[in-house]
Amino acid sequence: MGGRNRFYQQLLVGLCVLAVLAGCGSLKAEETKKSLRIGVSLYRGDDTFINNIRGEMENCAKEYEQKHGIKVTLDIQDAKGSQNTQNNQVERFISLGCDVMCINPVDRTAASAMIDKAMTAGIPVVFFNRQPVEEDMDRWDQLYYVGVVARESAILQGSIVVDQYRKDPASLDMNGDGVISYVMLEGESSHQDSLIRTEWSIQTLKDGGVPIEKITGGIANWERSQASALMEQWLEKYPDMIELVVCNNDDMALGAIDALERAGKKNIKLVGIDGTTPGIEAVNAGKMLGTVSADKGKYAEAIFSLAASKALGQPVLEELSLENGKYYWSPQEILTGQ
Amino acid sequence: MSNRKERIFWILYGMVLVLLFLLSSTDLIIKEKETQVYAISVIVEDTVDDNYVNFRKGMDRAAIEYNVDVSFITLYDEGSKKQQEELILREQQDGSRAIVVSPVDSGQILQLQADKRVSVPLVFLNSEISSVGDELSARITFDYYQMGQELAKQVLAEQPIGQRFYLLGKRQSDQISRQFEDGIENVLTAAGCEVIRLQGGQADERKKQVETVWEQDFGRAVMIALDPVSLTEAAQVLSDGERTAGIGGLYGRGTTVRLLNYLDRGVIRGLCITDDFTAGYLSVRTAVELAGNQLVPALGYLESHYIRREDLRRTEYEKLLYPIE
Repeated sequence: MGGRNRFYQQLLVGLCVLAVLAGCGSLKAEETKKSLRIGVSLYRGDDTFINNIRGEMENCAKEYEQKHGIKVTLDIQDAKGSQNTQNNQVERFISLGCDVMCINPVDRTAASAMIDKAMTAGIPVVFFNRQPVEEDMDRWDQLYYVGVVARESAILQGSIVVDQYRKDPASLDMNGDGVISYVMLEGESSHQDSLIRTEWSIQTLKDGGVPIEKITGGIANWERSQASALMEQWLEKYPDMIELVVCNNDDMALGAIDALERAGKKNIKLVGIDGTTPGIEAVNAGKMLGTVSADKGKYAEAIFSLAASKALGQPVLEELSLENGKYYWSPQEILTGQ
Repeated sequence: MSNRKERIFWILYGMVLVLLFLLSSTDLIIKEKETQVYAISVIVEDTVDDNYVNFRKGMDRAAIEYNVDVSFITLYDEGSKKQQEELILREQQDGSRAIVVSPVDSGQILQLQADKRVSVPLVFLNSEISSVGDELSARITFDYYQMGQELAKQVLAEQPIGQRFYLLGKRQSDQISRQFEDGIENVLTAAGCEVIRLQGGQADERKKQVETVWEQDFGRAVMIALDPVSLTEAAQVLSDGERTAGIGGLYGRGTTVRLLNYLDRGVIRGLCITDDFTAGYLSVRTAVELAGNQLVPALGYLESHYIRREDLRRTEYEKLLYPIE
């Protein structure tokens, strides 16, 4: 009887040892991983800011390859504004064996279907630029978000105008009536940042003591061409009345500049957000009063390093200091011609 | 008796259920056709993909149609032959069934094939190589020499006599730019024009050259950029402060959205464009065919066109410049 018990004890110990060894084996497999495959889906590839981030991510991938000797395959897809297309891209990423997915959602309220697929396949997801609703983000501990604090962007944008007004009120109040008449170009109504940017930039102007009056506003969906068309209409409808154009992003500010140039108007001031390459060029050329620039290098680096560490099964880098263990907020700064 | 029948009925019923399960949920009886996924790598000579936007659209289209897993790879440093060689060897080792390559130095890559260091089929992109047409290589390219000639003819037709022609480009130009330059020079010198070649190592140097030409040869200078990067830089300089009026015209080649915007704004006067979507599609399709051991017939040159601002909204060019995947 005692002999049989000893046999079972030895068998149990043996199984434990095997389990530990198997675990070590899998750890070794992780350690020796020589390639990463990251699926990236963009809500729209022609968005200048998103395109800048994409370029920075590609640079991060190259640097990582050179530094660590691990091959990185970035499979970048454009969802062209269709949630359905993006869902199909997620399925394709899973079937191609991506280690991690970086998704810039088309519709932030429709992320649950993609999360379901990722959870089933056990593939971590780093969302960026469009924040999924909190209920979705809380569904799994392998979901992350990288973005900017929209309220901070708006306050910084407002402060560009406040500073200019304090320095030289006449540069904004061109007709000298003591009120700055402005028009507002807004992004998509379904995007969380659009509403916050609109509200807080104007609130900052009011808080800063700038006397303002809204002439009109419109949704240009973040797009240069739509903003240009709207601005053209407003210039015809409100001739010599517009003194300031507040834009939710740089692309729309550039669209407004196009319309102003066509109409031969030079003194109207514009402010944007994002700090895209053409946006910064416009600021430097004196065509735009200023913009709020997200540190695109850090933004992309956060997305990439989160993705790489998740793909390798490593803990997230401490310097990223994630809020609630899943949100990374990229730093921002003001850029003006001065 | 009825008990026995009942038992047989239930056994048969169970067997039918098992059979249905096996038919619908497993491949024990009906074998599902295994889909072949081809891993194909595309390695370009550039460090960014700015000039490959439409090419990538065509590539993605073919990837869906032919079930291909495509990796698009750019170099770490511009014009590095060594890096391109290492990447080709790495992709081969990682299981690529065929490689599409826009060579920094086509001779070096042909040598890799000759030395048997590269055994997977290669599709040469934008490269004039003669030893193609076998089961291991193919070529997808445009006729850049003819493109240069066509551009020069159009420029001569548009410009008054007595203009001075400046060719703008990088100090170390690639094979395509050299062919394009030869085509332009051939026509301009035959017409007795004064041609001045300007070359700069860095972007700032090249931009400075454009500024100097604009100042020193005001109203007489006609600028022709030999590559899309130099053209973008020149357009950037000339678009500042309405300088375009001070030159005879700016010309070049390329299909990026930025260049098309400059053409639309009148900063660029004429542009040679290529059907990059078709090039991308054919590159991947050809790579699949070579990977499947098919002999690929020579494709000849793909189409290119010379366009002006007013052509931008013509349907045939819209389709070519803004392809829908």
